[in-house]
Amino acid sequence: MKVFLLSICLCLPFESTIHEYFFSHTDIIEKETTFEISCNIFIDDLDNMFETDGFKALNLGTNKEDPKVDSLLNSYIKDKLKLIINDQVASWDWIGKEVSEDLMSFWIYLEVPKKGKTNTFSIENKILTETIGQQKNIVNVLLEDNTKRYLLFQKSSKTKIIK
Amino acid sequence: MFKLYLQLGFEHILDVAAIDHLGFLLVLVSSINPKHSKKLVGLITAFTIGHSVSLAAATLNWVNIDTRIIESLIPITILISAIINLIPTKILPKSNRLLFGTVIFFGLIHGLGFSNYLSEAMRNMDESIFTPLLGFNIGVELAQLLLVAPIVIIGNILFNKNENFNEKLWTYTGSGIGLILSLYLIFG
Repeated sequence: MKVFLLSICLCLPFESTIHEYFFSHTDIIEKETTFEISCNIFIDDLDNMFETDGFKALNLGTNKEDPKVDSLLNSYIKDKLKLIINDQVASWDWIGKEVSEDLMSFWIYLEVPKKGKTNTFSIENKILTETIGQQKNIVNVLLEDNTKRYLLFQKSSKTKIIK
Repeated sequence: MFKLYLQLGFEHILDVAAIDHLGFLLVLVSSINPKHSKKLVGLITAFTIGHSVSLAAATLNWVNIDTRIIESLIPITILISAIINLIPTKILPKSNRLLFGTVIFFGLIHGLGFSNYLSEAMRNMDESIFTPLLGFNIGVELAQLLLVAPIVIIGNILFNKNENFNEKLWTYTGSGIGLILSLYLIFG
């Protein structure tokens, strides 16, 4: 009985958390004139992050979603996800976003217009890594010359060079 | 790609936030005498079977269950196994079949949870989810073995050092902790 009570006490400090994966997935596919980016991020993680930043009741992914969500998301991703092409941080066009089939995440679509030949290419991905300690960001890159790269970014990760 | 997902699976179990896995392993290991290593290997194999079935099913696109339902099933499975362990054997005799069944089921839903996530995340890549899923599952199993080892060692020490320590106390302690953990996860 003593051991049992002791084990209860040992367990108390743990905060209750609903277990889930803290992942984001980004695909970067090189086409003839553009880089197509699709970014999959969990809605509740974004919700918590925006709420901490003082944006309340944004109703992400619902019918009552705040109209400023797209621009908030765009500037957030701009700040955290960087494509460095030919030594310059690439700027992209916001194509749009949709809610995933299971209603858990957003698919965000972006497009980087290509300026000539891609000589060097590196990526930095800090999406949610500063907010969630165990956040892991997976990036799949598919280049025109059929180079495939699968990258993992987490809290301590630096910029990764593709070519 | 295999290596990346192996790392993800491994770290997923060893993460502090994935406390439900520790709860599950505690309940599992505490349900048998830690000296019976054969039975323990059997239980770990049962988990692998469940995991592998989900791997096959997801790759062949047989299942499409809402991820949220699966996520909530995980702590419920731990809760049920803990309660089964805590019921005195006079009322409910210990049944290997029940134990192995729960473990296979847990392996199955755990595998399904991730495969559902993965099939959504990989939808643009025009690639089978088999390789990443296999990597993730093997990572999960390696990490679980790493966690089971100290529980078994502690169990053996307790049994050897303390004459009053018996199988009943061992089961009640491990399942008690598992029960509390799962209650936190469900209602917390």
